[in-house]
Order: sequence, then C-alpha cells, then structure tokens
Amino acid sequence: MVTLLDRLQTIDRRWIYLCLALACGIPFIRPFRLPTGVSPETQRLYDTIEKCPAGKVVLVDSAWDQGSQGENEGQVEVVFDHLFRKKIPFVVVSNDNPLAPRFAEEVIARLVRKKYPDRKYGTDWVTLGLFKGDWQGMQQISKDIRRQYPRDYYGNSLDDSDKLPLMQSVRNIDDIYLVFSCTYTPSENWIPFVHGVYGTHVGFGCTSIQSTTYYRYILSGQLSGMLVGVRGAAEYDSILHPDMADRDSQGTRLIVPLAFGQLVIILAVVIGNIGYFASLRKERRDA
Amino acid sequence: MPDTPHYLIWLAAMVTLGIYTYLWSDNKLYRMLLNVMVGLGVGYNFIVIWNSVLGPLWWDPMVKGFQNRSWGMAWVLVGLLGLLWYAQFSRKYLWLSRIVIGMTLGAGAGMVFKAQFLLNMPQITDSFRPLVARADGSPLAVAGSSPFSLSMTLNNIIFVTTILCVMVYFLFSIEHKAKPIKGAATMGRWLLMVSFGAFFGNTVFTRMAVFLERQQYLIQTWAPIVPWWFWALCVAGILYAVVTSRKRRPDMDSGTDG
Repeated sequence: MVTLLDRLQTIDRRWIYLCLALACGIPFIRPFRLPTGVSPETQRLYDTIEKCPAGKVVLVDSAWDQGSQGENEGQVEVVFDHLFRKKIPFVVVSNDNPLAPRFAEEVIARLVRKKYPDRKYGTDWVTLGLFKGDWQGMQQISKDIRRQYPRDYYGNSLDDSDKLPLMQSVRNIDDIYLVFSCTYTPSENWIPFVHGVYGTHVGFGCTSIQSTTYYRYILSGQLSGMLVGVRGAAEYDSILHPDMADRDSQGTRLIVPLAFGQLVIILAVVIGNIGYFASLRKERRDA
Repeated sequence: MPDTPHYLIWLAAMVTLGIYTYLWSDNKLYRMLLNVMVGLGVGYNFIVIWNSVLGPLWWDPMVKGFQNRSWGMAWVLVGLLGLLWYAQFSRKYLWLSRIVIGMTLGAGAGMVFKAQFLLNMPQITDSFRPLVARADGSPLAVAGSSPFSLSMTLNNIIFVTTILCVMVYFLFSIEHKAKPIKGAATMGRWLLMVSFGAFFGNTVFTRMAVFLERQQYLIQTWAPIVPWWFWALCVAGILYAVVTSRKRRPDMDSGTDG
C-alpha cells in the first residue's frame, strides 16, 4: 500500500498532460454551460461603460496577440459587444505590439458579421493601430491624437471627414471617457499619465497571472474595473446576456473546459501530497 | 474565420501539434518551428513598425521638409541621433553612444519620478482606513448618512493588519526577538505565503487558458476536416511511440519528472 502511495509522487508528467487534455477536451466536444457569478471588479467595469455620456468615445488599447489570446480575446469581445450594443463609438490603439491590431480587427469583424451588420468603420469605430514609446505615446494621445496618429491603421488621414467622421469629434483626452487596456500585462502607465493627470476612467483586461498585482488599483479607485482572465470575460458575458442560452463569447466557451482542467490540477496536487506524506511516514517507520 | 482555406487550417494545426511535441521530449521539429516563429515575428514587426510609426512620424515629415525646404528637414537629426546607438559596436566611437544613452536616461528618470508619484501616492493615502467603518467606507466617528457596516469594518481590519505585519517582516534593522515583533513578522510571512499561493493559482489559470485556446482550435476547427485514415495513422503512430519508448525506458511511469 505504501509503495503505491509512494509512487503517486513520481507519476510521469505526460500522464498528467494526457488527463488534462482529455478533461478539457470533453466540454469542447459536447459543449455545455455552467452558471457564472459576477465579481465586483467585472461589475464595476460594466457599470462604468453603462454611464458613458453621449458625445464621448472609449479608447481601447488592444495590445494582445496569440500569446494571451485564450484570455484577452474573450475580454475585448465582450467589451466591443457592449460598446456596439450601447452605440458607444470607440477608437482602437495598440501599445507597443505590432501584431496586436490584426487580432483586434478580427474580433470586431466577427462581431459585425454575426450581431451588428449595420455598424460601420469610421462612424462606429476606428482602428489607429500601433503606437510605440508607452508613456510618451499615452501623453501624445492625451494632448493631441493627430500628433501621434496622422493616419489610421488603413492609411486614411484622420482629417478625412468622409472616411473617418468619428475622428472629427475626437481631438484629445477631453473627448475620451474611458481607456480600456487589454493585454497580457496592461501598462500601469495609463494610471498615472491618463487617470492621474486628467482623471479619465481607466479599466484593465489582463491575464490571471498578472491580476494579483492590479487589485490594489481597484481598491484605491485608480482603476474603474478589471476583467481577470477567462473568468472576467465569462462574467462580463453573463451580465450582458442574463439568459444562459444567449451567451456565445469566447470567455463563456472556455470557462467550462478551464474548470475541468483546474479540477485535474487540484486532484494532481492532492494525490502528490498524499504520496509525499505517505513517503514521510514510511521514512519515519524505517528509521 | 469561416472562410479560411483548408490548407491554412492544416498548417496551423500541424504547427501547433509540432510545438506541442515538446511535451513528449525536446526535438528538432520543435526547435525548427520555434526559429521559424521568431523569424516571422521579427520580419512582420519591422514592416508594421515602419508603416505605423517610423513612416508617418519620422520619414514622411522629413521627406516633406526636404521637398518644401522647411523645418521638417530637422527630422534628419533625430535619425542621426538614433544611429549613435550603433556606435556601441566600435571601441573608438563608443563615447558617441553615451550621448543618446544620457538623453534616454534623463527622459526616463523624469518620467519615473512623475509616474511613481501619481501611481503610489493614492496607494499610500488609501492604506489609511477607518477600523470602524460605514458602508461607504467613511469612519463611524465622522457624521454621515451611511449605516455601520460589519463587512467593511472587517475588511479594513484585515487590510491594515496585513500591511503592518508584512512591513514588520521586512523590518531588518531590528532583530525579531521581542514577542510582538516576532509574532507580527511570522504573521507577515504567512500572509505573504497566502499571496504567493494566489499568484501560483492564477499562473495555472493563465497557462491553462493558453493551452485551451489551441485545443479549442484543434477540436472545433481542425478535427471536423480531418479524414478518418489520418486518425488511424495518428493512433498507430502514438502506439508505436509508446511501445518503442517503453522498450528504451522500462521505468517510464516511475520517471523523475513528476
């Protein structure tokens, strides 16, 4: 018996990978939904967007790429969904990640194709693309967006009122209600350089691994809300769609397989610890 | 992407599976794919940076300046300053790179001062919390319309206790011998352990999400277009790999990696 428990500590990692792949694969083959609670930081971001006054835009810093697609894609999807639904115009920028603009464009295109075919580029949203320099770019956008972006992502001049009517009313931070930064590690510089100086709302969408360092900004009121990993995306989707059958965002699709995977990990940790204590007991007995 | 051609889906799936072969063991396919990814990334990034940043913000105004004989010509100086970074590759002209290093450090120091002040001052003021609080967070001792809140009070007590204990733990200038100091420091260490546990749990969440996104692609996008004979080949290949690896390493399931 002790030998069997002893061996629990030295299970080949590849068996654990296999169990994980099988456990996570089942909900993809036979999808189903689980009820989702809403955490305060998610609710706060939703409430902040709900209060957006007419005539203002939301600046979305979508700087994620394939490395954090699992978590960030669902987050921007639900926020874009909310903005389209409320008819709040938005401007998309990407801080320091050349790969990011294409990913954001794909999510917007999918939403327009599936749910909002009447929304038009240039009127309901504009993609400006990459900016480099982090805090320098943030300051430039806040003071005069045209100094940072003479053209949009597709090469149209920001002064072209036919192609980009939305940008004719967006000059600087006074026209921006909220900055929503969504990437693996959202730049903390949005907080001092935009919220600290101008008082503009700032919200984050981050990976779970980074969230622990950002919670302090929620408590102090420096962040107006935060979406944490797949959980945040699924929670936001549940606020947007109270009926479970209507939920179809990437966050909702991933939260069940994630729960299954977590169960396997918890089980592996418990089994490993049982093995550890069993081997300790054996050592003591032998001594 | 509903209109993606099948060969692109196959390519993406094969690259994903090729990268995941690392889970079995390190191999040449994995390393080759890694190098291809890095190369593609660098090439793509250069083009996007030129089109989005260097072109519109530096090259275009400079060219226009030369055409109009205007102040835009001065942008050439920025380019020359940037080139000074490369002086680091020469022993003789190394000193030139110090000019731009100095400028970068100066700007960085100014930025950090402003950023840290605006980032951390609200944090410091927020850490002063009433230990008997109303629902809106204000102290009970000060007149207000909000009622007493037990949860807010408990929250604040835990918050302040945690801050004090962790600060005591990092107080190295006095020996942790006196009972209150020792107790607070031990408590601080335990509280830090709790936060490290939260970090670890969230790390697992993130790593799992990366895997799940790829697994979702393989199951929901690639698998439906895969012919049956390919599955048969895969099963045969896996069985062959397992059998040969067990022959080579009979102690596979009692390895040292667990």
